[in-house]
Amino acid sequence: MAYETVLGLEVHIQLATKSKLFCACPNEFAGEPNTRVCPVCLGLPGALPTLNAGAAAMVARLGLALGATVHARSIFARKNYFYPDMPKNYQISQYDLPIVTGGALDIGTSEAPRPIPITRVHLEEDTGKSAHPEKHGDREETRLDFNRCGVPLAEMVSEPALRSPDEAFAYLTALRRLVRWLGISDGDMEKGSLRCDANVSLRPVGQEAFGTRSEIKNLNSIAGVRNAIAAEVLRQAELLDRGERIVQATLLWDQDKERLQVMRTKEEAHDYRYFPEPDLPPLLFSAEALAAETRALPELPLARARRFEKELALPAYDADLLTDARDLADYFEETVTAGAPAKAAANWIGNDVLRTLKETGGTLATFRETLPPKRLAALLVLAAGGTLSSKLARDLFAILLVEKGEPAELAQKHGLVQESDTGALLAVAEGVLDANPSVVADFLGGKDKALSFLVGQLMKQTKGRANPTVAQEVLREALGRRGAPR
Amino acid sequence: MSRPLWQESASTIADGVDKGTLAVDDVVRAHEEVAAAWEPHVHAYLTRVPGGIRPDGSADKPPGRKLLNGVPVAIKDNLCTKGVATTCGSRILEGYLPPYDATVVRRLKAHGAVIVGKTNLDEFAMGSSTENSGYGTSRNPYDVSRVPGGSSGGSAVAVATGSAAVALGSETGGSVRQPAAFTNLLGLKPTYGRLSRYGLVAFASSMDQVGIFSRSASDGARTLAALSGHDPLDATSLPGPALDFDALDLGEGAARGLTVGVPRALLGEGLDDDVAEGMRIVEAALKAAGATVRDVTLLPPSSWVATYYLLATAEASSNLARFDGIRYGLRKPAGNVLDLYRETREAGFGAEVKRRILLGTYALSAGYYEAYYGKAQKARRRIQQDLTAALEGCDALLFPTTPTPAFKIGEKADDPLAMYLSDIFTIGANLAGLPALSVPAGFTGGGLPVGVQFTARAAREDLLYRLAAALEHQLSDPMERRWPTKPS
Amino acid sequence: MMNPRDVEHIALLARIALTEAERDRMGRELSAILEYVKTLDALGLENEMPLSHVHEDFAPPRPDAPRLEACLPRAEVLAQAPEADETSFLVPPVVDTR
Repeated sequence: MAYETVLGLEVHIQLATKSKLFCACPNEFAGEPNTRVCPVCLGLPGALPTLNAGAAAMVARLGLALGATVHARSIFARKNYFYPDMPKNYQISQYDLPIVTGGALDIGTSEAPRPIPITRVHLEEDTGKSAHPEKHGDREETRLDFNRCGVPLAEMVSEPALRSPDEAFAYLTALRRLVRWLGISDGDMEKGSLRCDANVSLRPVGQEAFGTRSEIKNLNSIAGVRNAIAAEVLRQAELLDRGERIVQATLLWDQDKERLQVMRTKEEAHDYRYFPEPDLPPLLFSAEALAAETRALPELPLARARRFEKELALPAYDADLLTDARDLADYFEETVTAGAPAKAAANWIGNDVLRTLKETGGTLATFRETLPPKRLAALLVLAAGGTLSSKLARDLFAILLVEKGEPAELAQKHGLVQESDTGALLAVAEGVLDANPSVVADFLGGKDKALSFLVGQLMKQTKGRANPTVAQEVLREALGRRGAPR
Repeated sequence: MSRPLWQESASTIADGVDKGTLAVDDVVRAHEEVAAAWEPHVHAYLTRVPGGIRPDGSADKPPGRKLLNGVPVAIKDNLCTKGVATTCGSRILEGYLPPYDATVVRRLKAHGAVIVGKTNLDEFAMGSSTENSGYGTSRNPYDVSRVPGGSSGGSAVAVATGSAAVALGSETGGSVRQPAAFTNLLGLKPTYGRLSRYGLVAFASSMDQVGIFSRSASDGARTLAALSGHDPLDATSLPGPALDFDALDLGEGAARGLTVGVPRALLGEGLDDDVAEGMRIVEAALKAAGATVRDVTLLPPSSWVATYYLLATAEASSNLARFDGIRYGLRKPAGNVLDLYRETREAGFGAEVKRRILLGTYALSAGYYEAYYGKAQKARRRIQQDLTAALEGCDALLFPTTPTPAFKIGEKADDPLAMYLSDIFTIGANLAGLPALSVPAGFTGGGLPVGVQFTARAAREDLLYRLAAALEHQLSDPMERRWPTKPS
Repeated sequence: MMNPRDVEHIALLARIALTEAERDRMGRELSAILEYVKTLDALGLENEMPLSHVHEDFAPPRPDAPRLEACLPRAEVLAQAPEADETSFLVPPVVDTR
């Protein structure tokens, strides 16, 4: 039996605000436990929430980037249930009227777009952390740290429109890129700033009705999501093939053992008793505020890649690579604006710059302090003009990273300027021919390949500075005067 | 001084301390002596702070001048006071010391007030008699066999006996106005959002407001002026400045030209004779003071009680979920978290609180939300519209505060519904978010106080205190008040 | 209206371990209150809009500015805890039921 995989993803995005969602505690929870808490996020009696305008603006920005509707009026609601890492035993979230509905996240390419429709995006507060139970004296205890309580989250729910583990992978990759691009989150699954639950079901190909779905939790990496979904698809397919029913369940993915574990079956659904949050006003976005957010929206990754392809004649692969992150795209574009040829800039940034960053473990932000776009552009212009061979250009690149000064000056200083003066090279060429009479004889005897050896020798004599093309011409000329090849 | 310090008004004390003719220590001592003498009979306090909590130098500065210099203030025990026990009248918070002050407490300190103690209340402000306190009931000083009202009974008793000049309580369904009517005081429920709720332990978030007990219109208005003004820590706090006390006219002509509406239909035959008489006295006095009194129509208040008890208990069921034995308060040890919650809350909450949590949980639960909570929210809008419409042609409404004077201790304890119905006149203002003030309106033949209340449009507490002041000029000088007699 | 099973279910949602006697009494009292609440049906509310906030006069949301001074010292935070060690609150082992 052939089954179609039906997937929906629920992603929690931790927003990179400076303060928490409902209080002024700094949004930093990785330090000493219980040192970033106040009466509000600790849920002390009498404390009240106050909304962080920056968090709301970030969700609006995400909504606009998804082409969704950002509602002029949305409501906060209490989601009531008891859990030790939730001090109030309710979570302030959004239910009936969320900030954002609709829109789509495109996981395809410019030639083959594949927009995945989004159901909604809403704002809610994060919970604290409970550690694994540990021995305390004669009992097992769990330790609670509330630093993370109140950190802002955007919960983004997709329609069940994904159709394979690879699509899930692409979705999360695209989302990660987008939230970083917009500057609203560092979107790191391993660090927990992007958290994903997957809803998986199968149905016979051609059937319209959805099958029973299971929910997979505890996914810690984008690759893990793909693997877990693949495993679950296999599990459900085997059950269905045997004629068995799929029981609605929640499963945990064990990353180390690479397998799924049933956590509970969904008979006892939570009754969250949602009601509108009385302590918070409705969240309002005026038309002006939305217009301002729209104007402030940066050119989005796909659009920018397409523009690079169209305006700068970049191949799709390069455009894609350079729009992986906004700062990278900016760096590239500024280098081009500063005069560098587009393809050269693409090559150098895509290869040399990225490799340097990887080797040093540095960030692009610090890198460009040393090698700002203007400076890189100057290097690339020298290379393009023929003043530097590509090998010499790479040598100069390395020098630029450790020495101050204009590329042209540094090239002169280190003697890297390509020697293209025919007159100067002629003298050296004569010297090379004198030193290698047998090779000269070979060449004149018809062995054309002997020329490359002689070019190599001339390059060696000029310490690599000779312009290879000119070198070759000069040698041919000199050889010509010693006799014509037979 | 012609009269003992504890009988003085807040204005006189503040003036004296400002000018240096009164020493704060003397003021505080006089009030403490009254508390000590009355406590065995009335149990108004859960915590008394010897010497009072004095404002520290680091306190916030008031925007204008200090209005409450040296004034002894008692505070209901559901308002957070830093480092001082705050139990909300519940065993689940026994020993809890908040690490912060409520905003209204900070503002009291900024204005120079001295906090003399924390007063008794129905547990988590749920009740109309203070009999639901986990720490014993308080008694009405005018008749110690009777309740002082609730939930802010302790605060009422403190001001009525003179151990505090003014006191803070809280209102959700009448918990300041009703005790004020039972104890010969003025009791203000401000407009919702007028006073910050930051640090007021929540019962029903969309209705809760800090309330003010005073023995005169002037003292009440002064305290409101000191405490009001936007608080950025409370998102429901009204933007805008504090009430301007100095601009308020509380003289003999304060009510001249004002129109007062009376919903005649509320005053049916079932009304207690003494309450009806109180209404007659006040209406006559208003006319004598130059106000116009006319009839208005209102929806029957029976819908108020049903609406209130669905919405307030639903919000309470959520607000009280945080009391779980994990971060503060009582913990009943257990081997797993579920039992920890269940045993702690069973042991820590009293019967009334449990009843309301269960009712509220039910009203929100799956399948019942529309029939109960949803319906009540719609009824609330209707009630707010009704009261607002009635106020269109007048400056304030006038009707009784309570159906009867103070009832006997134990009289309604076994009949929750009967107890809820005693709130019938007060609840409307809480549902609509409007300001309302209960004022003394005489005594029964047996010496029990009777109160009536004014309700005004949003943010018009100035009109309420002006009407109250006019009545003081017509009926009784607050300085000539009938004090309760201490039992021997 | 509220039979003992209903009361048990609600008590579990509310995390309160009622005794049998409490459960029976609550059932009776709550039923009486719910009966009284039916008076709302006479108001004809089907087309009325629900009211969540009594006024619309709100200040705009707070700017995104962190204040470390707003945080409480850990010692104060843990001092009120029924059970804690030097850094954290302690509870019996947490079984994931989310």
